[in-house]
Amino acid sequence: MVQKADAALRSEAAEFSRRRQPLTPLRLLSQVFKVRLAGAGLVVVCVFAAVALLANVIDRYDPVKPDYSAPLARPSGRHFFGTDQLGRDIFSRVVHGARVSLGVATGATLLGVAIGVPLGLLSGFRRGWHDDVIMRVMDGLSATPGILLALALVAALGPGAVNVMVALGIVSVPLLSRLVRAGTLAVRETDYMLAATAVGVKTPRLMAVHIMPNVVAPVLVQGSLVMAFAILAEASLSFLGVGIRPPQPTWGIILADGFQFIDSHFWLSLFPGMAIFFLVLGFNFVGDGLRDVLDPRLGRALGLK
Amino acid sequence: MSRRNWVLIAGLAGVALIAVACGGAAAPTATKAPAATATTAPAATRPPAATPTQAPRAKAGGTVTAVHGTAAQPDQLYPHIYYPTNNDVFLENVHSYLVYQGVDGTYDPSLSLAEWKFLDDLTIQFRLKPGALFSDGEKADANAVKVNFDRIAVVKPSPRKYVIDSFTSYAVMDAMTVQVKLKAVQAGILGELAHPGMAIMSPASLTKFTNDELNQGKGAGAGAFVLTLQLPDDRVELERNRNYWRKDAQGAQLPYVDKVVFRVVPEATVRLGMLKAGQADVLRDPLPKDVETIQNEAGLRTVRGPGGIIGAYWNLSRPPFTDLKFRQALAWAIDREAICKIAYLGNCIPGVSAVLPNTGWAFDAKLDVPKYDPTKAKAFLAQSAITSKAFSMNCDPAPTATKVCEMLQSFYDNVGIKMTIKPERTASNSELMWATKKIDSFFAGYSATPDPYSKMYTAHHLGGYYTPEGDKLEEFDTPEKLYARVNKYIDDSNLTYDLKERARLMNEAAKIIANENQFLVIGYSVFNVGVRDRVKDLRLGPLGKERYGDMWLDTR
Repeated sequence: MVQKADAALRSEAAEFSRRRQPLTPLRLLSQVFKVRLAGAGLVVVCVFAAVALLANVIDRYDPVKPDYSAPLARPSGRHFFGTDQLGRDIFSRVVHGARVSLGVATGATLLGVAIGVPLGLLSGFRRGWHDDVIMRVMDGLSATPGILLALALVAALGPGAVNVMVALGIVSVPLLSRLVRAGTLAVRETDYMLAATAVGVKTPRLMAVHIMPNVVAPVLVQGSLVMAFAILAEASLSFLGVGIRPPQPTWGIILADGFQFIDSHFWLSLFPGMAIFFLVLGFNFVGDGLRDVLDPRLGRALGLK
Repeated sequence: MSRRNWVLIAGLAGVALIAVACGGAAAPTATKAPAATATTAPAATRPPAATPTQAPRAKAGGTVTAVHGTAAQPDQLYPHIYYPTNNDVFLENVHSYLVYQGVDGTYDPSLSLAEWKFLDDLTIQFRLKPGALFSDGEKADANAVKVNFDRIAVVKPSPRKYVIDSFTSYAVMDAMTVQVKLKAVQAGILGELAHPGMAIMSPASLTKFTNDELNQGKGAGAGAFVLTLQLPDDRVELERNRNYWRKDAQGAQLPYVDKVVFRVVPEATVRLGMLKAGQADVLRDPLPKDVETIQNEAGLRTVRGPGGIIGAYWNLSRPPFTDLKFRQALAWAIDREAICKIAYLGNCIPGVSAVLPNTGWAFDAKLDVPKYDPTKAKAFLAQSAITSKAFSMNCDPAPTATKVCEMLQSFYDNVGIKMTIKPERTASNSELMWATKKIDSFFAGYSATPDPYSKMYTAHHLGGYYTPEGDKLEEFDTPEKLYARVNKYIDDSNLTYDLKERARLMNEAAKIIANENQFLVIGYSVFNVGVRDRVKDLRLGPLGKERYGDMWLDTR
């Protein structure tokens, strides 16, 4: 009887110990792959990332240089995705467009995180006037629809990849800062925070070591969704002619080029459209999977932890 | 259902939609054979107001629906002050002028508010049409002409003030006669008076309404229609002017059409669909790629006219454009034929002359340089003293303009010139260039009346560039005094009534403009109007825009 209880205790301790293991990136990846759709999403994202990184190797033609001998060619062995009005190879343009889209989206997300997370931490930890000021500013930013705010910012900053990145980063700040603030508010009331404060841990360390790790999970989830938003928003801005300047190939510009021919040369819009569709879908699946993995209750219910 | 399932369903639905779209788009469309195309010959028709084109038949009126894009909406409907070209079609149908000029450059008194006679080289007498009224019932008489001239001379801003300034006097001789005395011979004077900016409006409405109200279209004109409704981003409605002074050959009151509704439809594809489906009778300025579709579609045709010159303005007040060799390199580096063929899909005639081809008496087809020659362009560039061979060009984000700019960029890249494209609406560029001098260059298309003087003056003469403050623009002249020479030829061409001499002087100016690349002429656009077959006798005015005054509907 005693032996049985002992074994149960040992097993529980082992399980506790396993759960206590820090969630390393590798472990997180393996957990994400256990969620079927998230795994598929991650594969899609990785494929696009590889395409973006290897664009110069994969492309078959210069994505910018026109070929006036082959305008509006159908998809063929020579031009996998056909050519546009200026005879440029759409496959090469879509491949290089992946670099722009992912680059802008990653930059925008990192910028959003870099601004939104510290603001959220400060707001939630300090409370008082810090909280009031920061949150009212965030209220103001949130009051405008994201794409409209991005449009206004790009109009003010001028077109170009960096400006689009900055605009989309700013648009994502309110969401991320609110998320972090909510997490911080919960964590700052815990006993271990009280203990840490009591033993004289300084505020920056409190925020960086004791709070930050506990609010990072929702940021990761939200970050993947911000990536998806940024890809769509960049394409929208470029489509509207206010984003990145032509002839730089972005999916939005390729779509806009093809849009006027949509009834006669559908492939001009189809392939960039599919690229946007699958990459955004991929990020949404990854975000969904991350939420499943990082939410302790949901993760346990799915047998992930 | 969980969020994941929703996302999965959305994904599958998206794939299914794409598959359906591919299948649908690939399906062959039922189109008429190209041989059966019924396209009106370009430009060369003078509107024979009284000549029916069909066997005698009742010419039905009714409502005509025209569709156009957002940029074609009117925004400044007071013709005496500066207005962008998107207002032309409304002004031409609402107002009348002392002189009427057809797209081929001929003048037609029967379509004008007055008949004219040169008493000597410096005196023109205008005899107003008896009984002509404005839409508000006021008399279109000699006094009305004087009131309008008075107004054009003082209204601000007035881009046509220079026309009135060129008069020594204008006087009312009797109730229906006006006499204009010119300071000097002005060969282009009739062309100037035929411009929509010289519309004769009801004096009562000029007094009654403010400039802002007149800009909203409240001014009464003597044209075939009256503007009755203007809903931004939705529609503009013109209704028959019951006081219109013209009748057809059978004595029937014009216009035949009761109402023209201009609907604003932002998407070109939707506009084309509306024409095909019969929801619209007229499709204004279709995309180049849709022109062939319209020509090949049963029951549709195109009416074509000159659309004007397409090209690029350089900021000659600053480097690199102050350098002649650099400008020459820019002119020799581009393939105009390729631009017309690829960007305009054939709806453009390549050319280098600033004189439009529809000016039969002045256009010189032999002026064919600079041509496309990258080697020569590189040679010019090598001779250039400019070290930084880079510049930016403001381009309208519209698809065709963007394509032209991308093509220019690639041509310049081939010879070692780096051009950056800056998206900017066409309407802003003129002011950015001449008033603020902030930009390097901009891609432009301008419509032009068939007498070259007016457009040569306003597009290539330093005195003709419009700035709200009326700035002096001498700083735009180059070290070789390019503008001074061009200005002189343009001015001199206006000082003789001898057409041959006028043509010679115009072409001398055009040669300098082309060879020294004051303005990069790429070619001449073709203005297309897609119409349903039931639309008859739709004419184009001097600026190539539709005039609905003689139009009728075949309702058989």
